[in-house]
Amino acid sequence: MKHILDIIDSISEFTGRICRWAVVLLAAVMCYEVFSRYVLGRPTIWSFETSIMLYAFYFMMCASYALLYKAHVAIDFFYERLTKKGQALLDVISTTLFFFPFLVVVFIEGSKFAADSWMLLERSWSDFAPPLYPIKTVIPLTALLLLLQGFAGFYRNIQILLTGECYETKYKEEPLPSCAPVITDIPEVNRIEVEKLEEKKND
Amino acid sequence: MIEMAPGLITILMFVGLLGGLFLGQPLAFVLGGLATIFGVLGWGVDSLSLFINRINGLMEDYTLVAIPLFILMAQLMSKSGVAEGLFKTVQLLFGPVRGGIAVAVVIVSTLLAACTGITGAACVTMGVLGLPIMLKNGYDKKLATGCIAGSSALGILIPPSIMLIVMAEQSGETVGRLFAGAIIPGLILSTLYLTYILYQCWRYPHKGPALPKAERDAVTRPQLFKMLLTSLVPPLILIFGVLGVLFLGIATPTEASASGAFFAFVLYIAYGRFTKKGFIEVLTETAKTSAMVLVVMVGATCFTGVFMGLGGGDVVQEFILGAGFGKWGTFLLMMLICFFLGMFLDWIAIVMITFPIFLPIAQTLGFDTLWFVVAVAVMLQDSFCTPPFGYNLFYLKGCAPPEIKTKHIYLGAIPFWELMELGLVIVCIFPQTVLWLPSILIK
Repeated sequence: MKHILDIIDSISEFTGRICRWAVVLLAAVMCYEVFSRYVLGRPTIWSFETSIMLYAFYFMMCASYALLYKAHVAIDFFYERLTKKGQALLDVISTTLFFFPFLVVVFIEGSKFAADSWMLLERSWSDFAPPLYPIKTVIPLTALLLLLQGFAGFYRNIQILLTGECYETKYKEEPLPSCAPVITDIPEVNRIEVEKLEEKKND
Repeated sequence: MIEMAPGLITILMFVGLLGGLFLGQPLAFVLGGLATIFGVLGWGVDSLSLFINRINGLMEDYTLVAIPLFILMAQLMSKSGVAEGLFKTVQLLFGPVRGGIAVAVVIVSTLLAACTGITGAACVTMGVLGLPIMLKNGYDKKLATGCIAGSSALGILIPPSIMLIVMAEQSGETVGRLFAGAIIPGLILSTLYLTYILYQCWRYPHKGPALPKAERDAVTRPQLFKMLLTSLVPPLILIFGVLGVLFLGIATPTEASASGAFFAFVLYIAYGRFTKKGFIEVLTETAKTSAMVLVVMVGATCFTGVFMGLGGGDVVQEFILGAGFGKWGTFLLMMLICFFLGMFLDWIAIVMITFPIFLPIAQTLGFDTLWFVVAVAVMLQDSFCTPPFGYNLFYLKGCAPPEIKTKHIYLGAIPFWELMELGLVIVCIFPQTVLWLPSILIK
């Protein structure tokens, strides 16, 4: 089972690692459009729809990555004050009540929606006429990725409830920027003095 | 299917929302889960294709494309070290004045707010840069934390602002007009903070002593001038570049956000801060923040769809209009609702839930939509420093030295919160503060 959880975490991690570059592409496409319109004197027909698709792909595909790193905004005011087991219990309850029903619905309905588009090989009405079925497939795909990552969290919480421990994830949030500002511009002489002072303090 | 009175549904959905949030589940999924539960109860399983139509609507919205790009711009700006240079310079500039460092915090926060559309980064930056220096110089802990929490909330109000983009998408106002409308209210707040700090430090000198003479004399005037030039000019070019392009109609707000991100990238390289590792961090943070913001919108759009569809919107509307408070009483009631929701919910969810209900009411009562939206924006930016759940207070606690207790941060935020309400009152008494700039900037 540990193996399966690791695979799920890695899937979220690697979709995130790849998809986070989409925003660079998005910025490049839009800047090219502005450049093309004013410098080359001809607006492109493809940039408008391409940028919308890149944006949709970007935020949807990064959702499970954000879930892996617990970046989705939540109120942890009370949650934080609980024991590890208490937190696991709340998580199990709230994921069963809210998370799974919602994403199962989005997955099923989204699959139908995407399937309809694939059947018609649907294209946009514009001059550029890009195919629409790939971006519509992103909806069930996102739901699936979120469900997988949600399942991994759910399994870990059940483990904690039963045994008090769980298979930890390899991918952890790096600690917040620390309170001590990094002082780089102290001259070397002063730095030695500061270090001496600190040593004295420690004694 | 169960027949439920719309009034009951309204209450149950909001109780469910609070309950779900206190379980610690992410807001996006609580909203989506409630939409699923009440959609199935009210309409049956077949109706839920509604979710996909609404999600697809978000995915096709050109206005919202600016959100990840403005977040990218903010992350690049905070990595470029612009804030550090600016802060150092402004702090020396106001060195002789009592409370000068706090003044520098407010001025730099205001400038950063005009370069970015989010608040978290600015709050952490000022917390890491400004707080240790203020404490070292013997500033009052409450004043020191309050001025950071309060002024960094300006990030979400002063354009570019992702909150105004979401509001534009929800209200049908253009992004350009909202951006133009929020500038003066933002500057009013900034001025109020400055006045408050200067008054407090003049009246109670121990709260914010002036910088020691030795520290001020370490930098000569020509040196200071050069520092000012190198640290102030590039961000000003960015600010006027992004906003100018937008107001002159040269590019759409979305294109302006992309150019802004590009320019921030150039600054990042020009200041010599570019490293491969740092850039990957920028991309990672941008991905997480963008997904977080937009996934809350996904959950909220499903919630609103079910809530309005089951008649909850009408119930709230009848309640507000039926309370018989008159034009301004009703306005006050709506603001109070925003305030209370702001104590628990994220602004994204508040905008998505309340706008479909409040905007028709505001129009019925004869309020100008542009003015009303900006007033709500001023109201909602204060939710960032409302105890107990204001985000800025958490960010600040996260990066503050251990001698700063939660108590200091909460008490320190209160005067600044009051100043925000004063700002709202000014905006209400003088609607021109909102309406004047859009009328001359946007043709």
